[in-house]
This record gives sequence, C-alpha cells and structure tokens, in this order.
Amino acid sequence: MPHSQLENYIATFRKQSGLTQQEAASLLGDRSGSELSLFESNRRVPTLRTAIGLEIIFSAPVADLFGGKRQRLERKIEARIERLHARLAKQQPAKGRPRIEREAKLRWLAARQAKRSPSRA
Amino acid sequence: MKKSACLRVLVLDVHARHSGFAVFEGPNQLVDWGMLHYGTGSNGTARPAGAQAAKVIARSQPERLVITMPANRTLAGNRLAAVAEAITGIAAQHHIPVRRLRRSQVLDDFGVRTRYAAAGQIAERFPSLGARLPRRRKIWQSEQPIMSVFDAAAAALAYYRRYSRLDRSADPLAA
Repeated sequence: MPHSQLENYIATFRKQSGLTQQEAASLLGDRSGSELSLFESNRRVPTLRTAIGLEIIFSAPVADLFGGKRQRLERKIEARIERLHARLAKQQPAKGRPRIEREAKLRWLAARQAKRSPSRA
Repeated sequence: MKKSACLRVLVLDVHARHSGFAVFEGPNQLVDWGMLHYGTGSNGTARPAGAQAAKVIARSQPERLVITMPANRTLAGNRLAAVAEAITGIAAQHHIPVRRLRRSQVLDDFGVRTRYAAAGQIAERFPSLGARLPRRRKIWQSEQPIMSVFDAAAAALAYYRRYSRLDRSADPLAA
C-alpha cells in the first residue's frame, strides 16, 4: 500500500457515486455543499453524526472513509499498547487480586495480538 | 479504500490553459480526478499553474508525479514547457520524483492509435469516469477540456505497466 493513506477518501467515494457536493450534502441534511468541501479538503473534521451519515450514504465503513486518520490513530494506539505490555511484563508478580488482574490484562493482550496477527499476514 | 500494494501516483495532463489530473493508488484504484484551470495574461498572476498544482499535490500527497503533455511542436509549446517546469518545481519542493511520459508511449501501452480509443478503454474500466466521456469531436470542433482527465488516467495506467509492478524497486526512480 502507499506509505500512508490519504487523510480521507470522502471525495473518492462521492465522485465514484456521481453525486455532486451539493447533492451529498443535502443527503446529510446540510443546506449547502460548502461544509462537505471543507471535510474533503481536511480543513474541518466532521462530527460523529456526519461520519456515520457518510458511512450510510456510501455504504463504506468509517475506517475506509477516513483511512489516513485511522492509520495514524492505529499506529499511536499500538505504540501505547506496546508500552502498556512492557510495563505489565516488567512488574513484579504481586500477590492476591493485583496479580490476578495483571495476568488477566496480559492474557487479554496476548489474545488481542493473536487475533490481529492473521489479518496482518 | 482497499489497501493497495502500489505507489500513489498523481498524473497531470498539461495543456496551455488547463490540466487534467488523476490520482491512482494502483492500476485499479482511481482515487481522485478533476481539472485545474489556470489563467493566462492578467489572470495568470491570480491563478498560476504552479499554485493550482500545489493544491492538488497537497491534497493527494502523491509518491510519484507523472507529467504528460502534447508534443512540443505545437504553437503553445513554450507555454506548455513553462507550465510543466512550474509544476516540476512544486514537486521538487515536496521531494516528489517526477517522470514524463509521451503520449505515444501511452498509446503504445494501450495498443491503440488514438486518444479517444484509449479514453474508451478508461471509461469501460472506470464507470464513474465513463459518464463524462466526451463525444468524439468533429474535425472543426475544439476538444473538450475533460478529455485531458482521460489522458491523465491513461498515462497513470501506462506508468503502472511500465514502472511500478507492485514493487517499488522496479521503478528506477525509487529511492
């Protein structure tokens, strides 16, 4: 894939559908296409309501519509999860409830990693 | 968008007063397309070609820029060369490698003799563009500017066939 995805693919999906900005905006319940234009050019971040609206209009997941944003967020969160894992692994095995909680978190992290690995291959 | 293994390529089909552009993330993934209009004379200062190209480059963040233009022997040859140079300068500022493709190379890759035939293939392959395919012009008519979008799309596919076979190292420009 390209090194980084575009911030959003709203314009791509809209142009593929053949809709004008005005038409797509009216489906979202907006009066003019000017706000949609701002979203397409990354000058404004859409609200959750608008993002879900776009998902419904174009039948494409929000993750696909905002590929670059998702990619960047994923990288950041994965780095934080790595740090959490390292911190938990380094902790001295405590006794009692803290130990059970720590092991449960490590199990969840291992299961999460296993679930993600096949999709990465 | 589906993940693609190819470079993101911006292709500009440069004309004296307008350019058609197409952005691809692989030969099957048309991401964006449209027209750039730049003024000449007094308008030229208000809408210079370089500034228009800079907007598209900023929006599409390409990893390669491909420029295609009519043969230099046309009357507008000098103007075209200046526009192409301005666009190349903007690409250099963004550290984007630039490659030029001749129209004859594009037509060879499509195995056709006319740009309209290549545009027909593009329209079939990308139905979203197909609705905009202009009618074949009569000899006394001017060409529809939208035709340059089809030329840009055809050049993008030619680029992928020639240089980017799912492997960055296949492109001699790749770092």
